Amino acid sequence: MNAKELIQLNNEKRESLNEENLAYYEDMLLYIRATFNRSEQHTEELLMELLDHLLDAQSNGKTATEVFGDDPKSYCKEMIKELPKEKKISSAIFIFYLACYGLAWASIPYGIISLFLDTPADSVQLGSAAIIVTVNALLMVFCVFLVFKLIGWTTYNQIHKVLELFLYMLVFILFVVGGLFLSRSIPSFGPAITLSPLIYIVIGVILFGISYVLNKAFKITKA
Amino acid sequence: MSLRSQILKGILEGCVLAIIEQQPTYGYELSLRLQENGLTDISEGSIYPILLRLQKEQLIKGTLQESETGPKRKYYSLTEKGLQALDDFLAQWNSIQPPVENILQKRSENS
Repeated sequence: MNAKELIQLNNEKRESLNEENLAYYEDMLLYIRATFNRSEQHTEELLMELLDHLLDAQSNGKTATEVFGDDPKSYCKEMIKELPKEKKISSAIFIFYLACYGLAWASIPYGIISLFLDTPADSVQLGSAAIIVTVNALLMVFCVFLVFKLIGWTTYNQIHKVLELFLYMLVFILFVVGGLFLSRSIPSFGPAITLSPLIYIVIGVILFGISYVLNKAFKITKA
Repeated sequence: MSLRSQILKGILEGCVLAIIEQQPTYGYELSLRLQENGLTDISEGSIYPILLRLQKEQLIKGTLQESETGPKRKYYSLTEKGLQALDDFLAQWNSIQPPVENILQKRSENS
């Protein structure tokens, strides 16, 4: 069974947990999944084992605290430490997928808006444009990494829901404002070309295509 | 980690290997076996970090199999290397256990 099938099965089986055990288990699940340099396959296999165990224990009248102890954070850390690392190539594919997907989402709306505004398209200088695209892709990957960290951190630190929401907003603001700031502070250089809005849309569609194929081939978000 | 918990961990690892040697076992069954034998102080969940470590060191391997009742389970079995490790553990245990027992015996005689 691959990781996506395990995730799906996990979603179904989890419904049989009672309220108390579900809360305990889902915190563990979030915390363990939020460490994203560990092998996804091994992570999901472990989560399935823990769930099966808890379901067996529950049918014998035991609680999650009795089974896994009263310090789930250290317990999870102990297990994460022993999980094998994700292969470098898998991480690289994931980052590349994310970059294509993100850029597609930037390129298509930009093209469409330019199309309707009917203004003559700005000329683009290839040298600085390449750097801006790279910097924005890296910033996006960094922000995704931050979100993973936040999920892990907020699981076992009792913080107010409003503060939690604020922290996620902060990451989003960092992404938008940081992207704009970096794009503007890079001086223009390189040969200038003028792209019609249609070209942006075509580039965006191609990037979507690449991310779609990657997703199909490497089962990044779907089974 | 304290010496005490290191010793405990080592002993628990040895016990896990010995139980798995008897027949391929999955997590929940393994924890029941430990408890049946009187290791009730150890929380059930503590076998999972051990199972992960033993897999990492390639002493055991897990395969997904249908269980008699219920869902597919990950059954663990010993590898060649695991068998060797169990032999080593047994040799070490046999060299430590009798003298320790002797010493403790004297203590209870004196008191």
